[in-house]
Amino acid sequence: MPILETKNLKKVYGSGETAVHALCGVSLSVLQGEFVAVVGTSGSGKSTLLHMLGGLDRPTAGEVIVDGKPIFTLKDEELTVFRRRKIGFVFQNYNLVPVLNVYENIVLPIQLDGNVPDKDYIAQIVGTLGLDSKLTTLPNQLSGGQQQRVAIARALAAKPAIILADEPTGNLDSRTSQDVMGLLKITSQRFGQTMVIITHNEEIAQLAGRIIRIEDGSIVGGGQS
Amino acid sequence: MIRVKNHKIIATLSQRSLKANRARNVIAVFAITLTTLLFTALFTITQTMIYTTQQQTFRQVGGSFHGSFKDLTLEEKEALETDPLIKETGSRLFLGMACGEPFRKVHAELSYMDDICRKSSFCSPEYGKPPKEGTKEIACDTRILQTLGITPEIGKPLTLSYEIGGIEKETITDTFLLCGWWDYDAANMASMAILPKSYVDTIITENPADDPYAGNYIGIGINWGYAAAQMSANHDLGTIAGAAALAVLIIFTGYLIINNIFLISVSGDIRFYGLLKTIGTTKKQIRRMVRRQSLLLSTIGIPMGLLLGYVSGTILAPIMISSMNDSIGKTYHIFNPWIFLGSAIFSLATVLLSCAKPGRIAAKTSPIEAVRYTDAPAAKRQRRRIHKKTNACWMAVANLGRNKKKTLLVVTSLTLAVVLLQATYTFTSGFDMEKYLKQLVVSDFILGDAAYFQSNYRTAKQALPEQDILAVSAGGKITEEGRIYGSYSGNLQYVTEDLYRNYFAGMDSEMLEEMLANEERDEDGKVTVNTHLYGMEDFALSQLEVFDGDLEDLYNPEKNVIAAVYLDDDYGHPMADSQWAKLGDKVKLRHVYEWEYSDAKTGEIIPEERVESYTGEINVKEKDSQDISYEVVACVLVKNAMSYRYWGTHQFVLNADVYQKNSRNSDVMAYLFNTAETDNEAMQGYLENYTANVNSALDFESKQTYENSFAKYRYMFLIVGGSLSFIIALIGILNFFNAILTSIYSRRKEFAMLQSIGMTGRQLKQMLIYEGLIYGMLTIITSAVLSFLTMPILANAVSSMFWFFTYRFTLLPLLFVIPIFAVLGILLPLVSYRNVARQTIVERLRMGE
Repeated sequence: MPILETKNLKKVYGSGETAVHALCGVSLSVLQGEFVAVVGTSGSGKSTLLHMLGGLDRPTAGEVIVDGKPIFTLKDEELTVFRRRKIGFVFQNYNLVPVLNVYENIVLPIQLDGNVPDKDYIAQIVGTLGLDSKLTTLPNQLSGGQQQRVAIARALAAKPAIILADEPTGNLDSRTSQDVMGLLKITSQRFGQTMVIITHNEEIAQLAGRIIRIEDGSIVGGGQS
Repeated sequence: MIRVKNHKIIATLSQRSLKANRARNVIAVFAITLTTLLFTALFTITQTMIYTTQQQTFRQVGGSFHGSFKDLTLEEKEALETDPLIKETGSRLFLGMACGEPFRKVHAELSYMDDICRKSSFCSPEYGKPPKEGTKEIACDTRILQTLGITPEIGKPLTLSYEIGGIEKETITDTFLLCGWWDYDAANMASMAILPKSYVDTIITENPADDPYAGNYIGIGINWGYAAAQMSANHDLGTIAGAAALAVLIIFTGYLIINNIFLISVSGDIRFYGLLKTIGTTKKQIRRMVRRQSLLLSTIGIPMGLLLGYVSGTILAPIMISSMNDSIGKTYHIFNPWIFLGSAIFSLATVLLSCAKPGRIAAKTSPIEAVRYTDAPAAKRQRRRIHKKTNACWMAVANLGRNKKKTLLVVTSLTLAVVLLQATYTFTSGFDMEKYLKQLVVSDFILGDAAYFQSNYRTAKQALPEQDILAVSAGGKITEEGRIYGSYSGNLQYVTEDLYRNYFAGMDSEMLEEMLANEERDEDGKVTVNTHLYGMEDFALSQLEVFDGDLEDLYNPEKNVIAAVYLDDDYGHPMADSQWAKLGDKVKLRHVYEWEYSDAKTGEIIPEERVESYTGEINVKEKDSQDISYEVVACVLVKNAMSYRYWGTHQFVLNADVYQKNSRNSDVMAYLFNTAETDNEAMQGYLENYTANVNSALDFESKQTYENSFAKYRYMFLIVGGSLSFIIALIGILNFFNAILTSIYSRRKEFAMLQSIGMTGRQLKQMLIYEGLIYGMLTIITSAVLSFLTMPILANAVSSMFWFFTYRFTLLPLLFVIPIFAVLGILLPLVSYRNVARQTIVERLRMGE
């Protein structure tokens, strides 16, 4: 059974003559532990797809099923709670909370859920990502690559069903990009973590186990595993 | 340097970014309006106050001329008019004084005045025209019309009797046609009627004056109105300092808020400025852009503030003037362009001052850093220990710590408002009515001639008739009562030559020595000067405050004893140098029973009834008198309410019977009485009616009068302080709102991110409410601390200014604002968040990408 599935997902912005069809019936499925890259040019609808997958935006039609649950049947607040338990995000511009230090940023989703972080697990993540010496540092003291590693650790911390990464290397130089992709792959393997990465960079995408290509809001290849 | 024509593109950029910031603009315009309003109101009120005081004094003097000459011949007048030192002249030809029954109590003068003189003497008809030459037209003030019982109407005949001439008066009665009138001003001592020159000339030629001084005597007057206005201006240095302090306060609060708004909007737009820098905009241009935006906003805010400020200033000024100075009845509204110019300049300066720093910050933006800019200015602290639990409250604290300066600004402006409110409340609630009344009020009621209450008790005619005392006693149940006898002249005291010199200290020393040499001396070489002597009945005696000796013997009409009156300062402490007689001293008085008046030049005896209106110089001689010595048994203070109400010389108190026997005078100056508590109100009404309708020459004061004047006084401070703290509170709340709104607005993206990783809307709102409440809490704490520290100092300063102030520490206003802050702290974040939440998470996440 796939951990992530979409059925005929559609998203239309605006209406009438100015309507923009960002997604026109996307169906895909991702299995537990898979490392998938979604590739497409700018404007192809890949970011919209990611937002739908993460429950940040509601589709015009179709559904998204995460861990067997059709997520858009949930109310906004329920969706948020579902998101923090089941979905981890990694953004292009890291999006760390500036007033919290590295450790606090990492455990934030767990604490927002009112839970106590699993110390051993966090230590493992931190060790894998090489952040041991930076735990009390504030985000604005870190380099871009380091900040992105914190963001990855944060995404992993809650043991989500899937991690969605939106151009995780978009702000990084090619060497750091390779590092970060390597880390994503390693963590995916080590923790059996399902990951969906969105990128326009073919080179980066090559590191993924499977590549889904999207053009003009439709999947042109790799949609089903 | 290369000069390029880039002004236009800078202007376009400013305008565009102005349009993008609508919420900020509204707040900024509001702040600018408020600042201008405060300046305009302040200037309007002070200007109105100064002008009104001056005008009022001129009216009391009778004109706004700098100086005047009297009794001039025509040639002398012409010589003066051509004098280069004199800028403007007006002349008046005096005809005579209105006489006959209705003018017994009304002093009215008939004369011809030229245009300038009319204007400067406030005798220009407000209705109708000045009299035409060659007619028998007349223009006069409304009091004359009222006295004659004539309703003002142009062309109405008006019959008037008047006296002309010097020593030998001649009465002329004539009928005139009313051609104009103006409102009588109570400040003016004399009523005026103006006639055409042709008429005055005819009368004067027909009745040549027998003025003995004609030709060799010119009266000179210098208008003391100017000096008085100047003096009161100097005297009011405190007022000016207060106004200046207020102006600084306004600049400060204006700065606080406008600066804050621009600072926040600049940090919000920092990426935009970074972008402009990357594409080659210079620092100067960016500064100019920010300045331009503020100036554009000022073009809306300042005119609005000027208008509103002028309106509120003209409304507030009369309230303040009437409570500060009872004698001023009418407030003059002034429309002085300088007020507007001054306020506009001041608020423009505040605006420019406020956006200088934000402009510099925007200009300094490095293009690279701007992209990474978060609200945390390069944290000095690089590490922070790990907190066990990250909860909403804790994050709120961290968020406020992110921009300490901004937090400080908001808390400061809110604290200012609270402390000011606290001060106003402490100040007004400290006004102690008991203390005030105790010092001023002697009895429930005081009855006397109207002149007595005007500090003008001079002649026997102003004594209180016994029949009125009897009539008033019938008005209610009187529990205690006592008469105070007194006479302006008629009693002299023997003093040393030194005291004599003190008494006439204002005089030319040569003349003084000459006078002193001519004075009669007793066996101790003492000379006489006037004294004001009281004869008091028991109840009045009991109201004296004895601070040395014993009053008991004074109740005994058989004893030849006296009490020496001392003056006290505002705090009730006797002033040692206000009286020469000490306990145990002998005071020798000369009671004069009859005076003889004669003309200084001719030696002709003048009958007493003509003395008052006599124009020549008069010599006075005692005709019949008796010297009596008394022993000082007590040193006392006399409350103003029961005193002569003026101070010219040393005063003494005798038993009423002793006074009447020895000075052979039974003039009652004032009648003090108490009524039963339940009768107070009835008596008040009875006296109001009695003094208005039965004997209008009388007047009275009651506890009520003092309570009213006290309430009025307190009311003024309440109004002024209240409106001040209201305005500052408004600024504070505006700042609060602005800070919360902008802080939420600038963190839109951060919130979207927090929500994307699973912070629910509820948790987010909780965090924001905590932020709001922490602002409120910080304000309350700093206000409480500041109140504890400053209120006692303020109280000290105030009680040294107002003797009837009692300091009581209170935190009541603080308690009062706590719920307000709680509500605001919850409501403002919720409202602001609601605005933000209109955008979806995705929209917000994509911002700035």
